[in-house]
Amino acid sequence: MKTTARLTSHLSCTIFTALVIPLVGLTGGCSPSNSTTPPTTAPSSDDSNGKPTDAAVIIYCSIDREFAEPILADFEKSSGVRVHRQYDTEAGKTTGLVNRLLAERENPRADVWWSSEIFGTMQLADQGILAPFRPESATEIPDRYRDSSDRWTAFGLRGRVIAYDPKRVSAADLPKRWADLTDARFKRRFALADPRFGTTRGHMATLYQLWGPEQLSNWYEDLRANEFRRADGNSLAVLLVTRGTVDFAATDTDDVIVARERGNSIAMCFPDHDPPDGSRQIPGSLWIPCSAGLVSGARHRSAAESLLNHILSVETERQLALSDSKNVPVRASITAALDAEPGRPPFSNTFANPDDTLPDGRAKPFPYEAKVDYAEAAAVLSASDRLVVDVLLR
Amino acid sequence: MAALLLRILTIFGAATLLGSVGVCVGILVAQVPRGPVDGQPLWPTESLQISLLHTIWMAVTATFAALLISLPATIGISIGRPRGRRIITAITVLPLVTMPSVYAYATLLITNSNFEMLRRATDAIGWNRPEFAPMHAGLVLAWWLWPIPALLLAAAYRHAGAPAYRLASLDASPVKAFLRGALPPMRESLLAAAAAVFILAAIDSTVPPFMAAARVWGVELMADAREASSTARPGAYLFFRAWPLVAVVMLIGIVVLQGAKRMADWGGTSSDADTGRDTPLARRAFYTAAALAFLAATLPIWIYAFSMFDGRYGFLESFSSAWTSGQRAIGSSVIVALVAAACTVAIAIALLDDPRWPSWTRMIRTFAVVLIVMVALFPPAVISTALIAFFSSAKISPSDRWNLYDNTPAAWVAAMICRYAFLPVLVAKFANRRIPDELPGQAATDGAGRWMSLLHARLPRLWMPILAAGLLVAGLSLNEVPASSQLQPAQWGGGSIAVWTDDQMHFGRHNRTTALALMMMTPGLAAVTMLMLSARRWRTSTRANANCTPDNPG
Repeated sequence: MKTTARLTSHLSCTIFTALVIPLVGLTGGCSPSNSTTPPTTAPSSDDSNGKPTDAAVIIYCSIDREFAEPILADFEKSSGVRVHRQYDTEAGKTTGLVNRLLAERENPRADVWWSSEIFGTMQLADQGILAPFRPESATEIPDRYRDSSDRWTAFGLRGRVIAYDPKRVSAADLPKRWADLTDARFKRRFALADPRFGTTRGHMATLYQLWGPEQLSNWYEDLRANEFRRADGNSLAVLLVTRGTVDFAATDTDDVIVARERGNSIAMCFPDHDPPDGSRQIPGSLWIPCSAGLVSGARHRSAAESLLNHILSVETERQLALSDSKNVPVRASITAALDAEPGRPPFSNTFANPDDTLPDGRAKPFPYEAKVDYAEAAAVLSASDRLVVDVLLR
Repeated sequence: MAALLLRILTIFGAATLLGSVGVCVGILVAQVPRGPVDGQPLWPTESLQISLLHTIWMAVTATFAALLISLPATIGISIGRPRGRRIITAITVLPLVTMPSVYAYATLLITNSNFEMLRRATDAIGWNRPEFAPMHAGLVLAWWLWPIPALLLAAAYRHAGAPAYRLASLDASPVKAFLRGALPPMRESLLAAAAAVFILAAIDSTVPPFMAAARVWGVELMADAREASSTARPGAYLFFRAWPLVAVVMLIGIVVLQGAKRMADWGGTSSDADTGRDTPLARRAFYTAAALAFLAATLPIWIYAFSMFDGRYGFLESFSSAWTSGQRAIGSSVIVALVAAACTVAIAIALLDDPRWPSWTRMIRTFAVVLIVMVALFPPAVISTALIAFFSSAKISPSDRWNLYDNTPAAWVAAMICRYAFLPVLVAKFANRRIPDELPGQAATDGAGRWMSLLHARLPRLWMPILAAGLLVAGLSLNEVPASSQLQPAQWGGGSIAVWTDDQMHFGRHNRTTALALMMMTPGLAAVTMLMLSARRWRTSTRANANCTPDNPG
């Protein structure tokens, strides 16, 4: 009895020491390599009916849960494939899941990546996390929204806008350009989400690419001097407007629409992207598409391809356009069909704002996009992050 | 049979510890000695120094404010009659079993109120200036963490403050007697309480983003984790970013270890010993303290209740919609919280020692405690990155039909153990030290072996504090956001309810948030109340056991 007791006691202690060395060896082998070569992907294995042969598929999704759920549920119903979903927190949109995809790169768990923006997806593709796959359902999607190597496809645009309360702010008070936000009249009246996360991150990288680091740095300094308010995510920036703490907030179109549907007095405007020194004219707004792609080394490749076909289908893009998110379809045919549908106001009117005519009096095209190269903006993400930390959030 | 179960529990605790804290330590040991990653500076850059300063400012604010907010509850628990004391203790624990973001969002609602006057007032005092954001975050953290000093100080009061209070209350009002008579002899515990709040505030990454405190360590490391994942040694990258904060926090941790002896008495705060004087003045002081403690603990609920009808759902509909959409997440989160609590209790028991045991076994146990405390000091981004790298590796979870990482919450539970195991472990450690050596010594003289002595002489005196700490681990795990969002398994359960609730807040759904907060707080409150009520029976039986000697078997 005594011997057994001693043995057990020693066992519980030596379990630490006896396993520490192999554990260290094991954990030492867990660090991801810097290789950018994508792991080999298994060939598609659909059966003769085109149905996926996998019973389940794993998706990492940074689309708001509320908007993604019906689409994924439809897929489950029509295909019989179970979709295991992983969502991100609202504040750190895409960051958490991007971290996870990178950390899992040696032994990928996700099959499909569906992001609420495009810049992080481009970075993932460059790091070898996404594999080439051209979904059949996405043939109508314009080339601007496709990767030349088919590692991702984009769709369903959301605009970067300035939200305001039309009861408190007159049309004349609205900023015409993003650069105007450093004017004295916006002092203590403007809120911005943390620019290291979500669509705000991509927007700041776009400004970095369009304006150059020097002008952007000066703009950040002036924004700081103007005492802008920081917010934890775009929807909380909108909350600050609806509760009257600030008069303007940089956010996405869907956050404004959701607040409006809840009965808040809120509207949005679409400032141009001319640089602060006025050296160039860059009219139009930044419209950021969602993006989706196949994860390299997906274990449920057949179901993943099927799910990607579903996500990138005309029906899904139409569903997103009709949801509270009101994503603008990249397929012009869907917008035209929605505008023409009887019994509901034209879809394009969703984004009507006081400044929707061009200087020559013609109506602005819809969506009125600034000429932005997504790839160039994605390439400066890290540099843009550093500038944000060093100047704007100093 | 009981001794056999105890041995199994000990081995289970040791294995669990290895699979959680051991993994993080292993990753660091494997990656850190090779130095910083790709020219990463060893000494904090100017930008990091700013983060460090902001973090310390936030933690110091939280510490002072938490001590202040905890005073009414401390006074209430200390001077109240037994029944009232138990009720206040249960109320006091409530914030700790609630998500910190519930408090952050409530603050956001109140400070961004539609009331023009309130807004002007907050503007006038400079509340809304961005440079005060760390202070805002500190105040919210204090609102969440104040139970820790309240419980520690109340426990200390029973041991050191009560006699001084009795003397002082002969010629002073109850509050004055408490502040001037009872507090000074409790300064050791006061220091421990302050240090505990400082540490938890410094490594928090849930509240600061809400309060727009972007430049604090917990938030910085969320963004850093993205960079880290792209490097060959993410653990080392994050370690060399986080080390200055960890060093500061470890220094403070040493103070905690010195002063945290009173933590052992958490389970005993509901002693039936009447330490107060039943005078009208004392009763008034008690009721005022109880009301203030109740207000501090439940204020977010009232704030949400007043904003309840902003959303698209009515009151009852809020509960049904919250339940319908969140029930799977509630189920899986409760399982993870309970498993994490059970594992940490097992770890605490596995690390119990006895002066008569061989010194090398005691040294290993002490070393394990140090590692547990050290890992708990790392921000959740560091812990998550290490656990993902380990559990998703092909060696641990090969890509077959079923594996630990995708089909079980093992990594999620491991993260909760890494973050919160220090609570039961330290409680058990200090409670164990307080057990007089005569009883185990007598048991040994009578021929009881190591396990029988542990089982019959020590554990009966340790169960309640360890279980109380385990309950806190369950509450904290249920409400943890950053690590939970990273480690929810892809093919098990319905995700984390804390992450889900966090999303509801970001969408401004006060009604669902309130419904969820109530749903999550109620079981916690019920469990704490039950524990407090059963404490009386436990203490009675403990006293009876303590009176038993071989000559007088009771």
